[in-house]
Amino acid sequence: MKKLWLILFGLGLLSFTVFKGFKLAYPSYFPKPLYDFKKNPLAQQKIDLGRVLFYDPILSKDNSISCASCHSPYNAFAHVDHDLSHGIGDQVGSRNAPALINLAWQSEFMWDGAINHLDMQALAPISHPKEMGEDIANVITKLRQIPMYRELFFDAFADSTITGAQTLKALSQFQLTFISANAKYDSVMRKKSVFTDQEANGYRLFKQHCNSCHAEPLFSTYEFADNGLKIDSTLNDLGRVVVSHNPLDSLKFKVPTLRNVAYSFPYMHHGRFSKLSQVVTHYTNLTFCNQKDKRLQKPIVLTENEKVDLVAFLLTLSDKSFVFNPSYSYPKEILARWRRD
Amino acid sequence: MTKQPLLVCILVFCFAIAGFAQASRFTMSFVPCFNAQPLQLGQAYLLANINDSLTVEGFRFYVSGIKLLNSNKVVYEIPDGHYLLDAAHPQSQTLQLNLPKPFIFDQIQFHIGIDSITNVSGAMGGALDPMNGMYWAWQSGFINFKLEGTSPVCNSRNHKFQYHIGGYMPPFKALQTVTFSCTNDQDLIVYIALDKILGSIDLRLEPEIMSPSAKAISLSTIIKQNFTNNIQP
Ligand code: HEC
Ligand code: HEC
Repeated sequence: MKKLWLILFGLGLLSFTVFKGFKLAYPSYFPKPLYDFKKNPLAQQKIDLGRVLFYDPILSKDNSISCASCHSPYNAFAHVDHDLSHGIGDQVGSRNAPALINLAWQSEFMWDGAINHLDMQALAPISHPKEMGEDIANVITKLRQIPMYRELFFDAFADSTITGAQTLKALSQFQLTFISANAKYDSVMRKKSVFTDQEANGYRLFKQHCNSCHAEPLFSTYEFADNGLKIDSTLNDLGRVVVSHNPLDSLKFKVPTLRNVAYSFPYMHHGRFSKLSQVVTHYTNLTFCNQKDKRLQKPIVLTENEKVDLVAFLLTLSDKSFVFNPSYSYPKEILARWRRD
Repeated sequence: MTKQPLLVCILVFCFAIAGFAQASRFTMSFVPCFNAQPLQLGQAYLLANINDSLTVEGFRFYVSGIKLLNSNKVVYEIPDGHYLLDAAHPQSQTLQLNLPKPFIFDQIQFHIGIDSITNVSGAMGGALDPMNGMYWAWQSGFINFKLEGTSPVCNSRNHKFQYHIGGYMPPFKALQTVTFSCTNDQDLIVYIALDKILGSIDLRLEPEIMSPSAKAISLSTIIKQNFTNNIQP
């Protein structure tokens, strides 16, 4: 009996070493992540698989659009220069593709929170007729025909069957590594650097007028709020109410993070503004009578210099090591292993 | 590769344990019916209230949270038991429940659908794998009950009717729980009167219910009432 235990124990150790564990690094001033890593423990092979899937147009109906087509790493995973997203057959969607940053700290996804878990998010673009126009069952059938994927799934899950759940979990794993915590703001927090006078003044104004919704250190409370944008009559997007059925949620959208905001233009759920200065002017032009949210009921009065200072502070949220992180880019080194010339 | 011997060891170990304990089994069978006869997919039936024919092309639903009760007290709950029953795969409609020991019970209770905690728990495999087509992509949530087919009275594309019933968030929670009297020595057979469920809907005006809504909730109550242990025409 003792021997059996020893053998079992030994085999257990072996099977664990097969998966290279992966520990998410984040600063001590971040809260605890909300994603339940126990249900999907990070492993390098799964992250690699997720990365290959994220860049593979095989997830779309006509094999033309990948996740990265709309979420480019060089734009903090937002859609470069598109107010509304662009999918298969050149179809235009109805919302702006948000930046994908610090997703492990969110529990509701999309501008209206229609998706309740990061794992399930990918189903939405895959099946959206104007995004990828596919069906997860068909994606799995396509993946199963490709020897490279059979091997990648085997490496990741010790099983080469390829299932929907595995595909979604691998995509989550790659996206969970999108942690941005290396901007100038962060080095100031770590006392490795100091703000210029202009940035420091912008920071003060930010804390006074913006931090109640775009709260540090994630730069969002991830609540749904109405920031006073007028409805776009060509889209008639009512936001959160469609999901919650609560009339008070009409025209509320998820507060987006402002990390890397300099890279993720255009702004707002329908990409109305292309410059940060326009966003700041939106807030200073708000008339208090049409504003539902308490936090924006007092007019925000800023001088031209203060507006510039506020934008200067927002630029300290740009994290170059995030947008140029080689482990987020097109997985050429992984794919090279399968290329046969 | 290295995982396989471990798996074999664990399996051998489990069988050994299983041999010692007095395991027991209970069988639940589900029989979808139309006009008191077992349903045949693709067959044209006459539906009295529309005075016309209809054909059921697909019928699938989840059963979960199975509990055994004795004198109204839970004696055992099947752990992680989520079952997808599919009329196209008749074997999926018989559930063999393995019990760790023989229990005395006089009632069995289960959900038609998937509970709200499972609904927010991320990607899961097996019966819960979204590739089974029982998960809404555009707004998270499982479809508890899916009934599809055609009827000439439906004013929809290709005369299709589609009822995808689900929703786990208030105010539109469509999960239903049913309880049946039974005994531990006799298998339970549950009949589902699809003619009564479809007869409750105006197929002309409402060929589709495909999102969490008040209509989905009211249909889910009718569905629940038509899970019975005796069937009458
Ligand atoms: C056609 C463009 C397009 C494609 C392709 C696309 N997305 Fe998106 N993505 C969007 C848009 C637009 C939104 C916002 C949708 C909404 O709010 O309804 C979004 C939202 C998201 C979000 C939620 C972010 C948040 O903060 O709530 C995640 C995560 C995401 N996408 C990941 C992916 C993945 C993974 C893929 C590939 C399977 C993918 N996207 C493919 C356009 C796209
Ligand atoms: C009441 C909460 C609230 C306050 C206060 C607030 N915002 Fe916002 N902010 C939002 C919401 C909600 C959105 C998204 C709105 C939409 O897309 O419809 C948003 C969007 C933005 C965006 C666009 C980000 C993107 O990626 O699209 C920027 C930039 C921004 N806010 C900056 C600011 C600044 C600067 C301040 C302070 C002057 C501020 N916000 C104050 C709620 C708020």
